[in-house]
Amino acid sequence: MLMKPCCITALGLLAVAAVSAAFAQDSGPFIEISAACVPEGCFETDPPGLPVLITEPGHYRLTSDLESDGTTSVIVVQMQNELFRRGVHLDLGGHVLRGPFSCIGTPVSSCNTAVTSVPAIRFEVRNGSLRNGTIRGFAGPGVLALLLESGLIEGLMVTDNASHGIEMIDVVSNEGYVIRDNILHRNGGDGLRAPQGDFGHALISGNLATGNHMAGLRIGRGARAADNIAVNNASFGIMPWSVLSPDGQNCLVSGNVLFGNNNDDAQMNCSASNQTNQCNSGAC
Amino acid sequence: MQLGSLLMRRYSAFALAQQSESAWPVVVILVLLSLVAESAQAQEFRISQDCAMVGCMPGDLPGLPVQITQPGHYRLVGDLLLEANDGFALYVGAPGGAVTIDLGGYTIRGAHACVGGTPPMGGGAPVTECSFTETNGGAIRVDAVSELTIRNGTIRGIRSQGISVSAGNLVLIEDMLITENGSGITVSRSTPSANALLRIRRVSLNRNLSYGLRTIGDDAGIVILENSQVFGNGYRGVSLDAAGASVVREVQISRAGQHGLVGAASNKRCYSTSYFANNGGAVQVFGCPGLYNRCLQGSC
Repeated sequence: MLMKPCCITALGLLAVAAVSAAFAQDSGPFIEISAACVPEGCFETDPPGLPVLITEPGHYRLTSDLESDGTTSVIVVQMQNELFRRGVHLDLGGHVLRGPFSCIGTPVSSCNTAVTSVPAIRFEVRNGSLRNGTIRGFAGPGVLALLLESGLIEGLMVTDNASHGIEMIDVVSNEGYVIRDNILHRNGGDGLRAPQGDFGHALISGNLATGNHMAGLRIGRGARAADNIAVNNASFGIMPWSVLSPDGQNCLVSGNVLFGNNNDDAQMNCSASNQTNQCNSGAC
Repeated sequence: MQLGSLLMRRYSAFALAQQSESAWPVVVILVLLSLVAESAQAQEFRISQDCAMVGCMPGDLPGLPVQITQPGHYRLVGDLLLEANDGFALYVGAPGGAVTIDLGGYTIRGAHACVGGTPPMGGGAPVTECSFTETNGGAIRVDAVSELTIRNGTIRGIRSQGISVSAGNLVLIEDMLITENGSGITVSRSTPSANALLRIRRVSLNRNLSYGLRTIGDDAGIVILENSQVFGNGYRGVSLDAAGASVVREVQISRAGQHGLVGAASNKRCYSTSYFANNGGAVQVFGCPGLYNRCLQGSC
């Protein structure tokens, strides 16, 4: 039986609309990054091969694991000047960025590669977010965040990297940012290494820093570290840079649990505390 | 997408079309839609009771347990029912790989229920009896993996453990309800694992016949339990018997048959954890010093 033209037209329109809706729902407004697209470049401005280079604002999502030789970056976010303040949001989609290296001991005593400054993810943007994935086995830091002004780093598992887990440099934190719910486990440097200078208005919360070769959380002036857990790091659980904040304190810390760090000696070296932190079994 | 169920859906659509010629355009649209959706989901393996019978993904043999032998993302798309003598529902054996299991809000379910163990402040006693008759082995067994995340679902009515962990460098278990099983979560490392880390958060471990959480045997590495509720378990709420550092933080532990928490090995610390009506109102906790812990009934 033949269908009436009106019905065919209606069905065609329905099909187009339905396909569009399905695609929008499943893929979302994300630009996908995967191992399959890396060899040719994952989008127009990304050159072939690693690292995946993000130079345009937008939402990006990993849809597969990515592997590298561990000495070159896997993803580089680097905005041009005129785009610098616009946002880049990078969701690792629960996937893994994997290099070949590993570290020995808890706390880490050494890693099987020379330390470099080349990170797995270089995140050089004023405003953005980075979330939801694992970064393992690189010679440099897992994440190097530069020039971040406001943003969010959350839900990362960063482990077995020969340098720091998350390293931040030249942060311009006028608007504040949040580093939360990350696991920084057994890296060759600090778990989190904040910049030495003004770290104002940052909130470092709910992170787990364990078994790192240096400090668990190394925080800068003016940052607040709350409700983190640091266990079995070789140096302090929480360690400020020596620069004091304007109110004379070098730490704004509360509700942290610090235990088994620094060879069971002092767990943090803050000049002032509200005594709601737990160092080993007591208040600090 | 599992090929069998995909072909079955296609076959059903074409069977519909054979009954009415006018249905052909609809069939084409449905097939097109399913292809688009499945393409977008290509990185995720779906697990259901139906596909378990024929194998849900490469490496998975027909029947339970669904065997996860490759790294990747796995999602339940329906409840899994564990029958008598089924062994495990999900088995993770993916050496060196990263595996994420999202229960999608669904339940891995045995057929049984327990008696007793009412919620924390509502009176009542711990679980005293469960109607276990089958011999199944547990809901999820983790034997080999590097990084593992299990999240977002319920495990109920399984005779043995809800989750049994014997491997994994980095394991995260979150947003789970684990209830009315033999035990909730058991960590028993097959080799000493001082470098491992297990983080359990936002879980309810309640009304299991024996333990809510238990670590046992060789060094379990660092174990963190936080922001969770543990109540009505028949024996102990939390028993940290394995070596290695553990932190229990902001957990409410109540109405266990014996101690709410026992840190039998050294290096256990508790913070801001409350205890109520465990151990018949006697000593609530043993071997987990720390700050802001409260025993609302009995002594700390």
